Amino acid sequence: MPLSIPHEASLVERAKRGDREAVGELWDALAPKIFGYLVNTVRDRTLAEDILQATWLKAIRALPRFEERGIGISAWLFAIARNECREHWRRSGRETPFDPMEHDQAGGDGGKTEEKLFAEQILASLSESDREILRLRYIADLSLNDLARVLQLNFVTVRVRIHRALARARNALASKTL
Amino acid sequence: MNNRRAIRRILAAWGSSERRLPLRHEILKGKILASVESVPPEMSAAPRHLPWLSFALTGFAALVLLVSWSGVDRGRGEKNAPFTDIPLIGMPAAEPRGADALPEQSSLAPSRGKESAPDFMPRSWPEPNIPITDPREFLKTDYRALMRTRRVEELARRIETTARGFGGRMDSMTSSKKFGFVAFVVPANKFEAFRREFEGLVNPRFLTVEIRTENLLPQKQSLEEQKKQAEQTLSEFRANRQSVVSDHNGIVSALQSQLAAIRDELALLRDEETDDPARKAEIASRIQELLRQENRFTLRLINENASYGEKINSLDQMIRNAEMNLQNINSQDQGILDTVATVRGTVSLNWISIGEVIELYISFYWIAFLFSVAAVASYLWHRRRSRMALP
Repeated sequence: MPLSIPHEASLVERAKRGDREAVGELWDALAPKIFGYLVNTVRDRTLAEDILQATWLKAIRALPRFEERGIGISAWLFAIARNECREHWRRSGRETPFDPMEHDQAGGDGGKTEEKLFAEQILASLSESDREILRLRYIADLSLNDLARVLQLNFVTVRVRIHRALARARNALASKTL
Repeated sequence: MNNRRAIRRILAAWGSSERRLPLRHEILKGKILASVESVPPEMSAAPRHLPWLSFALTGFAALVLLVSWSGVDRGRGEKNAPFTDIPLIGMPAAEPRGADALPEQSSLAPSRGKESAPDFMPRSWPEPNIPITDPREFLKTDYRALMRTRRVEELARRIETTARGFGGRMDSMTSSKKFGFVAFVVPANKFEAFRREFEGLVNPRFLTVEIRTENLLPQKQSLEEQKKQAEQTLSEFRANRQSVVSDHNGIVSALQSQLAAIRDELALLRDEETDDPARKAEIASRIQELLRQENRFTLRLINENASYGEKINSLDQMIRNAEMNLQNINSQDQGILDTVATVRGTVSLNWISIGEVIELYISFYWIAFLFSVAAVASYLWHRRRSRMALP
């Protein structure tokens, strides 16, 4: 259930004051997106859970310093999560995420539909930067503005990148349907 | 179009299906909620991250402005001091800059490019002693330049070579690592070509030029008047001498003829033989009279010769003086013509620091402006960064 902006802002304010109920609501609303994004990125459920936990713990500790200023809490949490992923790859000696073609597909989720498999095949044919931007757009459900903040890019650049990624995905879709 | 919609739909469905809770959802949530309780109360008063870089850049901008403001007055004096104090050859070292000074036609040459003007306004008004009916020009040109360079000694040598190359003469040259001075004279007819070559030695930004042009017509007219008077005086003296000589000759000849007549009469009287005592007495008396007359005329002749000698010596001396005066005037006249035919130049060379070079290209105000822009950009960057300050 997506949070409305005023409701999200009030939850953040309450969470800043140490309101567990507000934090719980934020968790319920945002944890599936973040976890989905992490699982799709690191291709390891356990690792994704660890990163999710680390992300939230860091966020809770830093929450009093969080200033809204037009940035949603979700964008902030995704930025922390991305940092955590990078930290993990640095520690494990990798600079880039795992190639989905070389690893297990999304950690043993048995109930994949045909369309989902089709989407994953299309995404597998794209570059990692295209996959990353599409993950943030469609799994994290971030707005273009939040995407720009998370990726630390210009709004227009983000728009162009998404447009290009979608164009490449369309080409991949066309080649698979032929 | 269908593909576009299809891919969006596929990805939206994929994204939504990817969202899921972890298997250990409740445990993780419990841990997270437990950590909320452990948030120390002082953390809620988060320390503000100040934009220190912006402050530093703003400080630099203010510092540069202060330096430029304090340096403007000092710089004006210091930079032009060596320039304005350069003594022109044959000119007083420090020329008056007061309200009643600089009567000659003076022109600052804004040579090609940007030049820093000296700290006085060039004034120009007609020289009151020059009659407007005389259209002649005897222009004396003095060229002064201040060059700023990183290589003083090399530039001094190049200036010397350039001046000699245009048939000029070096009058003095001194150079050290920081300062240099070159004085030269070049023919007036080659001056413009020399100037082009000379001013091409450095970038116009590093060059300040002052050209002063003065019409020497008053001096020329004065000399011409003096010459006319001297020639008139000389001719008068020569005429006087001629008159004295001719007067003297007339007087001498008259005296000599009278003396000859006396001597003839004396000879006749002495040769006369008579026994008549009365006649003898008369002859003796006459001889005495004639001897007195001879003495008197002889004395007059001597006096005349002496007087003539004095007069002629005096006149000769006056003629010699007049001739010398005329010669002096002629040499002064030639001096003016030589001055007009040449251009005297002095070049002061000053070493320039990197900071001053930058200042020449970008004024302090621009540097301060750039610092200010950087400060604003830094502040905006800090603000943007602080929005996404990640733990």
